[in-house]
Amino acid sequence: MKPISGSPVLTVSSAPHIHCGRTIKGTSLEMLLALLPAAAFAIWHSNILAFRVLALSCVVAVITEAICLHLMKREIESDNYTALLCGLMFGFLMSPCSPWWLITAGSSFSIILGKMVFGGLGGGPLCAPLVGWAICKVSWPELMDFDMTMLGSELTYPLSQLKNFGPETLSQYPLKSLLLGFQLGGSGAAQSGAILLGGLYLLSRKIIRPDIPFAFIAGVALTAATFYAISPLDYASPIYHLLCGSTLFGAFFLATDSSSSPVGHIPMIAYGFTAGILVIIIRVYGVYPDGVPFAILLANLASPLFEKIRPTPFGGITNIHLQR
Amino acid sequence: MNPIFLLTPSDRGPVLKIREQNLSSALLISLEITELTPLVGKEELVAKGQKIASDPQNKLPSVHSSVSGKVLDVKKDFILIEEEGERVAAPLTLDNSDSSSMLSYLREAGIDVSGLKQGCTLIINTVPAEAGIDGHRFLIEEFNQIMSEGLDFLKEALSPKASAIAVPQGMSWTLPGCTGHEIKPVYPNGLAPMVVKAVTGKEMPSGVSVIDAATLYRIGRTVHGKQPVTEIMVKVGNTLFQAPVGTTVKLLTSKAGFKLSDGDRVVLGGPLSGRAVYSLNHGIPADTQGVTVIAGSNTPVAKDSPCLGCGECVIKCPARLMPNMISRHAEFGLFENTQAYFIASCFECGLCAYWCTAQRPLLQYIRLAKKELFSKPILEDLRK
Ligand code: SF4
Ligand code: SF4
Repeated sequence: MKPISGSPVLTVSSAPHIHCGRTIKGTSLEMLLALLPAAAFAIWHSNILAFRVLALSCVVAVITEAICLHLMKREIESDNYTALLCGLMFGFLMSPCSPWWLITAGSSFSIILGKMVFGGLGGGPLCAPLVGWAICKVSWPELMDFDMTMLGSELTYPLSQLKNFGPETLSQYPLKSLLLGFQLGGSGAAQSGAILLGGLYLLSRKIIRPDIPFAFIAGVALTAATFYAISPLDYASPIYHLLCGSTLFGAFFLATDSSSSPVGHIPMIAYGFTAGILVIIIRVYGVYPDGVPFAILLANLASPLFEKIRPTPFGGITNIHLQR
Repeated sequence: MNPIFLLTPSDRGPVLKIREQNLSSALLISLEITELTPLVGKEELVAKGQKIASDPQNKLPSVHSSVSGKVLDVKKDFILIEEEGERVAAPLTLDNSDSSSMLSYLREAGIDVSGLKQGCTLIINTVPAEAGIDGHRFLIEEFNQIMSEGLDFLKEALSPKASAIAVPQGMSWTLPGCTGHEIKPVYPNGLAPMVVKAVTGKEMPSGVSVIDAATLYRIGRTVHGKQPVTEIMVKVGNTLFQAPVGTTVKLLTSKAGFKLSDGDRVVLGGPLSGRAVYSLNHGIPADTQGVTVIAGSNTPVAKDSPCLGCGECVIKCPARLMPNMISRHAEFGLFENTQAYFIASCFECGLCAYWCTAQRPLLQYIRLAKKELFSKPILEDLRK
């Protein structure tokens, strides 16, 4: 509609009239990009097997989200790539040899129970891919055991070696090969070097804040170092804990999940640190070789508590009627 | 540093006097949502400086005609005046017997005095509110004398405990009798609550009045000439205008070299806290210091998307609030709940909405909640 005077139709908006340019879609694309190297490594190490897992997981996640949104009579929002990202992250946690139905079930549970039942994007109190993972882990423990599923591979799973045979077995894993992903574990999550690369990329692009990943790594390193200092013969050194399993994937991608992590610098640091400590506690005392997923889920549950740590607002607590 | 947040005043450049340029278009004196009552009718002849609208509640500043002319139209939200003749209104009569009549004198002359309190600490804020809104630089450097006159008047009216002037770092602007304070020229440091904190060291203390340089100049001019100030300094893009109140933004933007097209935004004030106008025929009000033109794009700034919980807004908020939670409650009409997240401390800088990844209309929700809360009765004073 054009006014007769021929003057342009102005856009009217409420302040602020400008935006920094960050979008949900842009952020998810950057995260997907950061996960690509790890995905490539996973496919290389598993002789294409991981490709099947990752692709299936992504497709199932996107379709599940679309169906849920349709049932909820809401607009389909697959074009913001958040479901794709969630599916990919779930695939990263699964073994490349997982049967197709396990992936389908887990990936759709991630979306339904991790995200959509809480109202969709941003509503989930837990990191969505971990919800699906946890359901699979407790429902089909034997299929989720990396040692069992990977009998055909010449690679081994360092964390269960550590659990079953003690830290001296770790000497068979040179740090360089751990970085290059020569270990069993979640298809993408075990590619420590590639994950680290992706994480640093996200940090440099300011997609994630350094608070959570660094606090998480510090939590893991300090706790592991404490155990190691007590008895180097019984406990593994911190560097193994950081490079084995999904520690780095947890630090950079799972713990930083925006809807389930707290906001504010101090809460973020406290949350990351707690999750990091829990990782080692579960690895040392728990029955699960890799403590990362459950540690992060537990820390997720404590997020609302961490969020209670607030500075006083500007000017103290005032009544609105006294302003102006 | 993002240039959007840089408050260092730019070089002065020449002043373009709109009156000497041309004033072929009629002036549109905007009354907008102020609910002022027009005092003139259609076809009536008005003199320059004549009061044409006032507030029946005696709270808001009155509005004056900036030209001698004929009223073409009076509507609920504007008065249209065409220039004609050379009439000048009779000078204002000043009763400076006591403080409240001195203040109402200023209000009658079109100056907002609502924030001025007796016995306060008076702070003159010369830091640009936003990047590019720095037309007052010219006033401070050229009309220091007038400003001092305005300051003397204010001092007499308010008998302040102390007076201070806040200047952007690196500027050597002073006013007699004021202690100087340098402010780091980064947004939002030029906003009143931040300036108060920088000067007094306290956050939102009671008994502090902040007045910005352009308003102080207007006070000085009013006191000096016994006439309401009807010509103001407006910075549009890189051009500084001296323009009568009511000059249309169309004239200003075209003189400043902007070619406007569909979808552009024209904002009175800066991009982060200013107010967008809906028509190019909008006349600038007396308190305008700048007009910002933002090139249009098809993607809206804010969207109706859910909060991701990324925490960007929380980290960027200078008032240490949780705009994410405030907006979540306001979104569903739970305005009372926003008090638990200290909405009263928000000074509407707009940074939260600028940084929001989900592009949520955070400041918009906050303003909505504030407005709703204001209309509720006062329950208790929580400030001890
Ligand atoms: S507008 Fe937003 S960022 Fe600014 S003070 Fe208010 S809540 Fe904080
Ligand atoms: S910046 Fe936006 S999406 Fe992020 S927490 Fe704040 S409101 Fe939510």
